[in-house]
Amino acid sequence: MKTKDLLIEIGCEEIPARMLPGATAALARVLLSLLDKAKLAHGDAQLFWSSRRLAVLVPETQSEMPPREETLMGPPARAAWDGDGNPTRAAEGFARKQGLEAADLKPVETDRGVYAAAVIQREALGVGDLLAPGFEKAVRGISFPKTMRWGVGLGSFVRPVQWLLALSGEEILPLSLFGVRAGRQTWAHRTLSDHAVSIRAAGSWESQLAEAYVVADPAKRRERLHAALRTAAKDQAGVLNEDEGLLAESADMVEVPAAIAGSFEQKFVDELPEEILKTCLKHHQKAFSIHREGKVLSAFAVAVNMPEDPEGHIRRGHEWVNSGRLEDALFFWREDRKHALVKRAAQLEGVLFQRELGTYSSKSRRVRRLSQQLGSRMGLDDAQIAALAHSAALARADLVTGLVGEFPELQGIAGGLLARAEGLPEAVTTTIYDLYRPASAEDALPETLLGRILALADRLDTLVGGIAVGLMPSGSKDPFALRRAGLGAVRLAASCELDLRSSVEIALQGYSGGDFGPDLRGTATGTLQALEEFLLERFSALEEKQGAHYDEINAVRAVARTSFEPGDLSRRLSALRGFRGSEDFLALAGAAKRVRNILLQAKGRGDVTVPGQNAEFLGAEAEKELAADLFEAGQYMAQDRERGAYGAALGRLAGLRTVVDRFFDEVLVMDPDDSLRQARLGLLASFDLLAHEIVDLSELVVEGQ
Amino acid sequence: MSYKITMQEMILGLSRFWSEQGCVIHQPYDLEVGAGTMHPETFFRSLGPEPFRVGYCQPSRRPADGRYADNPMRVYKHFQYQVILKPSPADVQELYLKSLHSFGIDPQLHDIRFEEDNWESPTLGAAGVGWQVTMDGMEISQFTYFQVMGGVELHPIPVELTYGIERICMFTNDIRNIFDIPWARADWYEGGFVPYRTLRERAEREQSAYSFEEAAVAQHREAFDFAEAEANRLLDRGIAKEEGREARPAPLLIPAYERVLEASHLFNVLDARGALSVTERQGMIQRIRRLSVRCARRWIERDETGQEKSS
Repeated sequence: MKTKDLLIEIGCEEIPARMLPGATAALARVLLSLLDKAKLAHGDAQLFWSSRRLAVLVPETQSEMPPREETLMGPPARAAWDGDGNPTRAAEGFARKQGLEAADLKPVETDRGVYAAAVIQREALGVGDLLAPGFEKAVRGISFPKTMRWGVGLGSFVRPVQWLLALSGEEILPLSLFGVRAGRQTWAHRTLSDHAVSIRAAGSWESQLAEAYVVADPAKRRERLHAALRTAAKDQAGVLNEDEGLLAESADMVEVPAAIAGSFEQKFVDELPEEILKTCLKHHQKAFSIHREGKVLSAFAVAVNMPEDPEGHIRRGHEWVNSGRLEDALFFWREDRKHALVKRAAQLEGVLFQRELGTYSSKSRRVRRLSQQLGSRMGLDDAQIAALAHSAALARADLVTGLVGEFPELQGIAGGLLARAEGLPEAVTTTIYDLYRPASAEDALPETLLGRILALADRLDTLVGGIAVGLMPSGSKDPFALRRAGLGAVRLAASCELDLRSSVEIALQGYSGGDFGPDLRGTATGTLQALEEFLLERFSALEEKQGAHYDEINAVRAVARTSFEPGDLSRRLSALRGFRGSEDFLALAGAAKRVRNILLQAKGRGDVTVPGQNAEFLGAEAEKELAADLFEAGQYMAQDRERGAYGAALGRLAGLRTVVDRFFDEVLVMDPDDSLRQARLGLLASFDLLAHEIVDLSELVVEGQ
Repeated sequence: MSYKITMQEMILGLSRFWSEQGCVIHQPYDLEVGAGTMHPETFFRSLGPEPFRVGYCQPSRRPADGRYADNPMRVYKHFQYQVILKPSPADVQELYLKSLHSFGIDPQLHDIRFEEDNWESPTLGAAGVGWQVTMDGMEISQFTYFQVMGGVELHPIPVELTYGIERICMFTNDIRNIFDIPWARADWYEGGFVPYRTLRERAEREQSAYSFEEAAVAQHREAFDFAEAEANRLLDRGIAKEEGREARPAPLLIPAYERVLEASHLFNVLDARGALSVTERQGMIQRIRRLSVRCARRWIERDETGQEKSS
């Protein structure tokens, strides 16, 4: 079998960096599926991309389907030929479909009997002939976050297609896309080498492009850009402030991985807080800040798409723009400090939080009240509660500052910095500073307890209000970012040891009309239950990320029927996971499920199943032993539970295995004697209580059941 | 003091270059507009199948951006050099890069990039896909393939190139303040250049004061309502057949669209004046958009012979 490297490169006008990896992966899927459909053997696809190209190289791809005889089964012989051996209409129809005469059909012996078959001689077909019929349609079918049309064409793609390179080894494949026919030409770096490069063979494409200043392998480009940025920082006698996300984005915005360093006036470092300086460089110019011995320098490094800057235009340009941006930031920083945050907070009267939920002013009032209520529940002292109220009143004031208008990602941080500059107490500044944390499932929680309480109150208010007015996320739609708020609320409640069910109820009572926004206190209980279910889903998602299995999560979710304290649930879950390997424990979980079923059936028949009922009727050794052990374990487990020693409690439960097994071996629960049966059911009901005292054991999936 | 290039040399250079590419070099529209896209030669010519190429320098007013001539970057009125090529040619990026030479930029010596930036105009009911073009980190152009104009899906697709000429001129001459831009070389003027300041400073101060402090709110609202009603009346012509009249009058699209432009500017003034609540603001944007959409729909109406009804 002859194999060659197969290469497809789609040349486009600049494709947004954020779409490149997904688009190339989709192209690879399209190509491999076409190859598989054509039954051509191939190696693993290698993905290449840069701003002007999506490319897939499939090594060792069978370049030709050799000539062969193909036998296609038609109708059974009985149906294909009549008694005289003449072809029937069914045979004629089948033959016609294959492009043959009925006389060409041959009887072929199979496992199921004799069939009429068409034997067709297939000519040799090249990989190009096999790909051509499906290629354009499949590539046009690739989906992008946003597509466009151009020129006089009706088709749409991520950006206008400029060229198509399609090679099997050295041979051009007969493909086309949006009216562009495939060739061996690609275009190199736009300004450094603005000419077509003729590619000799699929295998030399990457190196020929590299000679023409295009590094097409994204990993290599990123690695080399990283090195270039670090060198640039070193030229400024400093060290690059690493930023993975910015590096990845920058690497997909250049074809040649190059970087330059530049500087700006020292006054920006002296006057601007570090957070603002870094954000300004990154936000507007995608530039990295540089530090030395923990201090930010008045210099930056940035990715550029030109390896040389002989006349210094590029460096001066970036310096000019960065200085202008820093000047703006400094202007805002100075202006914003002219007004106390409390004055800014008054302006929130005119800023809408959500159309139906009113302004940020009423939100601030609600969050202030809610954070105080949560704080009291947690037993904070008066000074702490006062600091919380003070922070809550000012926390959203930065929304109307110039800084946040310019850099929305600084919300919270800007408020904290302004509060500090204003000389407000440290407890207040840190609490405001951390309002938006955690911004993601991985992001750190606010540093201080007050920060966590305020962040929690803020999210609960958003969640309750959002869901009450019908903004529950569905599918990819989450206009109010409630999933992120939910994840945050679960993590924050865990760290505050707060029960989410009652907290959500308090938050809903906060929407009390007048200065506090709309009156939502009459919201249907079903809505609150939906919110709780939604939060439980977020809890499960977080735990699954930590490696918990769904049945373990279900076992603790069942406990959330009485209260929903994520921190407590999490501890129960980790205790449970600690016992997952214990044989005694698993056996007991099996028994718990069996007991649950027996009790359900008994109830169905009208039996009473109150724990401990009719205990005086118990007589057999095995059941008396079980009753005594259950009683003792129950006493200890209650204490364990009180202390939060869930591992110890589950250990005691596992210790019951022998007596439980003995009970089932020796005792028949459904005794015809009513009193005795009730007594045994009462015993099982006591066991059932214990089996979901910590987690609901009957939810566990135990092998063999 | 010497400068590499003046504002008017840029305008002349771009006009010469795009003239050589077969563009009609048009004049700016003589009503207040917020952007070059609102010029009827862009709005209407983007619609329908006919090819078109045009270039012009459009003064663009954004009352809320006025800063009393105090801000080195932001102004009430700035100038956009605008080019429309319809249908978009396959080599439009190369043409654009060549056009940079017309004002002294050699792309070989700069880092020119096309960074994703999609465009949308709620009042025009328009949207496009494209980039902001940056040079050495500085945004110098918007490059947009229009997809929808006045709510109408476009075919063929026009491409719009917009040059922010003040920014480019400041950048090229290493100037930090927009008012220091040399507009014209002039040996009769002190220093040998007539600066932007001489031409624009007083207007900037006064227009800012007008937009933020003086504009009569009630009358602006009335004028907005009038412009809207008038536009609708002109657009309605030819729809309701009047009793006893044979010939149905055609809509008067250009005058109707001019009323839309007026409404849009009045809205911008009210917005700058801080006179609009969030809901009212949204409502007015919708009202302007409805008018734009009506203008576009009536423009592309065809009679049975394929002739435009409106022309």
